[in-house]
Amino acid sequence: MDIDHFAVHDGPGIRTSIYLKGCPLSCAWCHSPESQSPIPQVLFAPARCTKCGACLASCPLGLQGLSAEGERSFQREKCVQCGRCVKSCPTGALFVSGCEVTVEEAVKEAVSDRVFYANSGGGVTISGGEVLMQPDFTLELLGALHAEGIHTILETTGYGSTEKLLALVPYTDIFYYDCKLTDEAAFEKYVSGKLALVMENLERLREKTEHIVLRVPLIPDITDTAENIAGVYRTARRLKISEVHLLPYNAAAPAKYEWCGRTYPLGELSARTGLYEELMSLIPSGLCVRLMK
Amino acid sequence: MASSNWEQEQREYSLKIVNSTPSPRVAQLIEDVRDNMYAKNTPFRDMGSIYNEETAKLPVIVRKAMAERQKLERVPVGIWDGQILAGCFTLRNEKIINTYDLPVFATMDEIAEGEKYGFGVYSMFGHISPNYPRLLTLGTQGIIRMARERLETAETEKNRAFLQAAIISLEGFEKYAERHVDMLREKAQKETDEKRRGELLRTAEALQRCPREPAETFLEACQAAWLMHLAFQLTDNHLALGRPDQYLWPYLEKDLRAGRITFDEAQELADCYMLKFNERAQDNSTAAEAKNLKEIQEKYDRRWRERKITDIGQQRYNVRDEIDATNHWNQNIMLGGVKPEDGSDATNLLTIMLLESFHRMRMTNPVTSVRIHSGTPDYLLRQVSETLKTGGGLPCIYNDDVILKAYERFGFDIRDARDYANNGCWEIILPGRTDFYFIKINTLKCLEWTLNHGRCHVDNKQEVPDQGDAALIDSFDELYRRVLENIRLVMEESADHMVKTQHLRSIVAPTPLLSAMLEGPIEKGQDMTEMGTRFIVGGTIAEGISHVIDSLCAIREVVFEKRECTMGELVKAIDQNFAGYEALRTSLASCPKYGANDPKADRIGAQLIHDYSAAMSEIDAAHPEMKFMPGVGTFSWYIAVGEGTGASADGRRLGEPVASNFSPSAGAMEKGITGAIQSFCRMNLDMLPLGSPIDLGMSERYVAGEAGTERLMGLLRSFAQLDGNMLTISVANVETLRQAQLHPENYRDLRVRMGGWSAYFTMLSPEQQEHHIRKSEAGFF
Repeated sequence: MDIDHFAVHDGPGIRTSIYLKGCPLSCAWCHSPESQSPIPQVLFAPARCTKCGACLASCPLGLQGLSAEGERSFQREKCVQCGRCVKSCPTGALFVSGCEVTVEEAVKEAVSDRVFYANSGGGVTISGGEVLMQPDFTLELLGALHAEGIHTILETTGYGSTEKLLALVPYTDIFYYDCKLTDEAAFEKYVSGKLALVMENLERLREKTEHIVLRVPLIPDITDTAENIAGVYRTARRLKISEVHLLPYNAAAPAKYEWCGRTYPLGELSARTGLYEELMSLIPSGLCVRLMK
Repeated sequence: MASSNWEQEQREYSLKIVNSTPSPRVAQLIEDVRDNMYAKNTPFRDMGSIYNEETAKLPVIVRKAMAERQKLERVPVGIWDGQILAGCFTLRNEKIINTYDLPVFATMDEIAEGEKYGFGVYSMFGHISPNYPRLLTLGTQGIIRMARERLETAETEKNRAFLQAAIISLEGFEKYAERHVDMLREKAQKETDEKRRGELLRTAEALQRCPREPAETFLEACQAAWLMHLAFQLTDNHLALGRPDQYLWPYLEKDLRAGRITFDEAQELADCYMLKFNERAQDNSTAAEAKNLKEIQEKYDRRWRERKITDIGQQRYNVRDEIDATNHWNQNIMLGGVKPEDGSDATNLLTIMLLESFHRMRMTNPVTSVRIHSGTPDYLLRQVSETLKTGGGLPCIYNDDVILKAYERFGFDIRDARDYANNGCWEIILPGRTDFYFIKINTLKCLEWTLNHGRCHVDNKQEVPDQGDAALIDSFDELYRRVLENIRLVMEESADHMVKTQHLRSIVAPTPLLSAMLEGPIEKGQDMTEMGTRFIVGGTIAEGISHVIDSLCAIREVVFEKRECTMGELVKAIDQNFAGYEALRTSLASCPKYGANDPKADRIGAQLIHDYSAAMSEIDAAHPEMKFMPGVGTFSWYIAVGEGTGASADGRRLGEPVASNFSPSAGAMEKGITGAIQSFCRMNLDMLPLGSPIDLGMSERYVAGEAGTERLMGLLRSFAQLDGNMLTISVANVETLRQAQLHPENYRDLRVRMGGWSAYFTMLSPEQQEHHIRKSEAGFF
């Protein structure tokens, strides 16, 4: 898990975002690849490394390397995430993503910002990874925050147990529901999952609550096509969901792949000119669409 | 105007103004003022001397007054094309820039005598705010009458000399105003444009009446207040402005009610007034050219070598800091807050107008601050937030609810306290009635001394007595006691120094013009430098305190709790600047830190501030001559403070910068901005009447759009509710800063906060630029 205070893009007001690690999907554009694995993970940001060599001796498995030519290496596949190298690193180039916490600890930290929520119309957003990967923790966490009178938003891909999802309804003020792709084949190809499960869960969720916002990450030529977005709008209309958020492409995503020792699969992308105007022009009447710049 | 209608119109204006654009005149003037910063102007230095065989017999204070008068009779006067307010520090058409040089007035003996105590003819401390309400309600004639009446009952030669001097200097100021009237009429005569001629004549008419007589109109009040400030600057008084939204408002209100002025005209005049404070600004490289850098650096180096315990700051000043500070002259204005008489909200239309002027001109002067409290209206918070979003870290936020408590704790009447403003960089004082001085205490040095036999790690100088071998300290309490003992030692020496020397400024640097504009001197017949002001405040400002908290917390955990090393090993590691002790350094650096919303560190911090303030109360009680009060901060010297301080037990290496003011150290904000604010608010801030800002920053994306504005407003409300005292928020973007380094010509209005004021980023030294970029990289900082 990771906690972000004063988070932006995750709902109104001043919010604390709690990110649960672990995701059953692997979207090609995922902007937090470090959240896909369910366990805490040592990351390495080469830009911050001064090649001081302090980490070399710290690793019990000798996985950190520095060649005579000054080339740094890190054999991540053998890493047991003991964290010794992170402690040794003076610049924070080696760092850990995620930590294990109890519900009480997470609630305590989130509640500490209560004054800020109250003064700004904010609250707590629980996100991922995918929250349905840790459904019991999510349920307990939401329940505790709800009992504290804190506004909650749950962000989900909808990819998980229907029953567990519906159990969250009484404690969730707003669901931010991912609606990435409306075409089954494309979903399979880019997200590595079954669209049917997501749509089924969405319909079942809608039967229980109207407080749902559909969210679409605008990935150039994949999700941002007029056809796909029109499909999202249609879904919203059909299910009487009144709000859709369009999330502009995050050009900073590739940097995080480097931290994980991976290559960003999509290469360099940018939004086409006139994109936002075009997508806004497709909005059917009665639907509120917000561009989350 | 019907009353309810009138309220509503003001409210509507206040809500919509933030999205408006300046008038064409103001837009042009903004451009002109910015261009002027890069212009090569010739300094005007023909001051002459008032010193001769005849005047030599006069008391120094009378000679000083004659010098002030001569300066104001001699300097060039003018008005820029398009300006409404006359009186300029820089004459744009003539390409002349004024200086603060004074005509010769002191004898060699006086100069030598003053030097013994560290004072010279230019020893104006400057951190004072004149009594503008007095100027506007009495006029100089009214004040001269007061002085004449007092003269009739003056007890001593000294009293008489001061009162005569005050009258002479005020007459000099009147003469200065008259010279502007003549200049304006002359210009009007030559002016072919009918409208412009009318404007020039209107300003001339205003100046002819006021400052001599009490102000009647908004134009008269703005013009007189500005000219007074300018006259002070020309006579080496670098002063703050107090609360202009309060003392100028009655005149605007009267004009508006009488239908003599429209909202738009009022805004334009407010814009012109605020722009005036930037006419003196110069590109740093131009300023550097005018200085002998080598000589200045030698002076700083000598000061560092010969430093004494009470020298202002024990840090290692650098000429770089002086150049970076080129455009800062303590020109503070304070807006908003509560009314002195009943504590009700003081926000008015002019509060919003002046803030909007600052917002739209994107400049660094006047250093603008806003007082908030539980009753501050939303539309003011909105305007503040919108202004913060334009960068530069201004306005600085002050919270009345806590600051008033702190002032009361130190014995002030609530009605005086409610009228507080600021001066210098941000220090809280009561404007118009306070003589102020302070000494900076490097508290991180106090800890260094405890660990290093009273010596400095940078040059091994013995700075204070040895408290004994730190390796033998066997408990955290003993360590804490010794650090506090050192802090207390510097505080006592500082207080003693101030009491012994404060009145000696009168030997060579009396201030008759300023004294005439303060509450106390004329009433008592004593110059400000002869301790004539109603309140005489001496302060200490504690530097490096965040690192002291972190270091103490780290030593407690690593040495006394986990026993990972002994005190002896810790002392050695710090002596070696952690060379060969990398593991220990990492261990120390990962202990809980102030700013991470961690009770372990916060408790130490709260205790430290409590004990620091309590020590000041005791010192205050022992010195009836002055009021002693504490504050916490570094101003813009966070790099210099670090350069003069050895490695610290929080893992900071020798010479590395310290955190600015009362901000968490770099990387300490593990729980974000909200966590940092919560730590800060636990620091017994109602025990720090002089103030202690926390400087926070965030990237533009955190505050983008209307949602961002609301988030900022929520942050400000929370800050007030949690009992914070002072806050600055810088909105910056790393990418923008980098682009500005590459293409400075495109970023002439990009500003960053410097711990005590704002500076144009592109004018800063490379070290400061890098410092700001590194800080901004985290997204929030």
